[in-house]
Amino acid sequence: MALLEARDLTIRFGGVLAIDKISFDVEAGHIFGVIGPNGAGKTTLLNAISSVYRLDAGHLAFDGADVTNMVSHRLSRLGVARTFQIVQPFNHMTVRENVAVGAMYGHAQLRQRSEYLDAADQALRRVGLIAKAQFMPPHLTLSDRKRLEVARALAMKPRLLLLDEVMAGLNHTEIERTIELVREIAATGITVIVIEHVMKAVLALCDRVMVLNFGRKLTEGRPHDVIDEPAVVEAYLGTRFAKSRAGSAA
Amino acid sequence: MSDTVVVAPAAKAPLFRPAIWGAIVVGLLVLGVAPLGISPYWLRILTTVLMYVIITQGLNVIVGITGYHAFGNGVFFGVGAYACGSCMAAGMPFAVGVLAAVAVSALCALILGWPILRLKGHYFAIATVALNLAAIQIIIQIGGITGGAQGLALPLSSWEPRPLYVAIYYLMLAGAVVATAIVALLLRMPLGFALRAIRDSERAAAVMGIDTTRAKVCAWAISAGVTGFAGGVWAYWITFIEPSSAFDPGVGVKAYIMLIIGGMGSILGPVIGAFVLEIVSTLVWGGFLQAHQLILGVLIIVICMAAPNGIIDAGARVARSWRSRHGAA
Repeated sequence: MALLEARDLTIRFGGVLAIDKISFDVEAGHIFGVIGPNGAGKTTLLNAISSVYRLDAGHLAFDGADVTNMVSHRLSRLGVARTFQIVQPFNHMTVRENVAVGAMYGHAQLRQRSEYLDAADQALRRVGLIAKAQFMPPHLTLSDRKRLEVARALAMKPRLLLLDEVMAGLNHTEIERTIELVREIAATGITVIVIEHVMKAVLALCDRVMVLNFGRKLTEGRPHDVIDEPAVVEAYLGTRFAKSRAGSAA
Repeated sequence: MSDTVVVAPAAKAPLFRPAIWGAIVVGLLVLGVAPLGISPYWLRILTTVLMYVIITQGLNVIVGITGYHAFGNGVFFGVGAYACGSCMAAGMPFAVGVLAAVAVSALCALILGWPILRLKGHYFAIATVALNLAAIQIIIQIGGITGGAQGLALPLSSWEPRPLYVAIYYLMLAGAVVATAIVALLLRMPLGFALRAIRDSERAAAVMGIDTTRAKVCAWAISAGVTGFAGGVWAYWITFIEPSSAFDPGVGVKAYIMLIIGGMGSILGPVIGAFVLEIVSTLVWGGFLQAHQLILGVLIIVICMAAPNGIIDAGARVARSWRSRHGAA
């Protein structure tokens, strides 16, 4: 059975259909990619799944239970964690305290000081940020702040992790490192949904990919099949990408 | 090496440095023996200072730690005063009156907070401003045990004035210590983490599993209970309360200034802010009878410009630069 089942998810902003009847299943243990041009509704979809926005129509089930329009904090206690594309650190708390909040209030629910601080250090070690545990977030680089987002989500002990463009703005080395990190996270049994523009990462990581365009689902399938579809090339990837792939394949 | 070490501000460090602990102990000893040797005038000033420490710490919980600007928080001072006054007018002892002051204030915050703490940012601030005006109207309309528009005289104590005022001083001192301890404890507890998270990013706090409305209502109830205590003791101290004095918006405004010049969200900022503002304003008032408001206003502006994040923060900065200049770690 799928860990997450989405049926006809619809969100309207005034007269605009930001996402329109989007349905998909995410199998437990998979890495599920969501791609599409800017404004296609990827982040809105993530906000719908994590209950930051209310659905105007549609249903959402997590682990067989109906979670449609469940308030955010209850959903996260069930084991859904996310990062924000525009990072949202708690700027007046140390990096370690930022992550400890996740351990206290997420799926983990650790209330003993030694427990939540240990869990925070563990998550920081995993993303490679432990050396900066006592820093304040404004003193971190963008790449480190993105890793802080991931560490906070990991400390929640999630079953489903939603990553919103954690690779945007990173250089090649950082992208390689982040791909490795996501792979390690998935290897521990956490199901992952990634929104990503970095196609290299999508191809390397995802078991399945869904393509959005103008708020609608264009197609879904295995990554290498999806990127060869003419509609996807036209709407998102562009002919240059298709040619360069054809060139490298030849 | 020094460029890789970015330390959290001292106010947020888990434990104070020895020097600060020393200052706290000396300060408490001085305040503890002060009533033995000071004039009734200075006893009254110091009691007022301690009362404002309590009110400002109460404000610190909702404004400084949680980031919700409760401009009308002074309303709980009046609620506490009237809860205590009404209980005592009904023949109950002072201790019951003070307990009622805390309980009724906290309860009011719970009931009011559930709807209005769903408002975010400025909307909440404006909603609280209306509370003082509403409260005055309600007290006048209820009449009866509250005395209505005529005010309420509390039963006089059988104690001599001097021991009574000294006792009230110690009660305010105990309240100030407890209120400061509540803030210090809160910052270490999961609830305190939740409130600081809400202050910095409410959206992130919610998706990380924090029931934000519940946490905010808890914070406001604690804030109100602390403020209500000050109001209850104050009512017995001055023995006659009326709606315009108990719900004086000036109380909340003054506490706000103290919080800002001391340092929002810090443990000792409100203590320093209350002492500095109250004592400076007393001295200015004594020295410049004609223009004291003007001079006080200018002084507040100067402090805010010199230390925009409060005296605590400015002090920590000075201490850091002094340490780095003298090479000691």
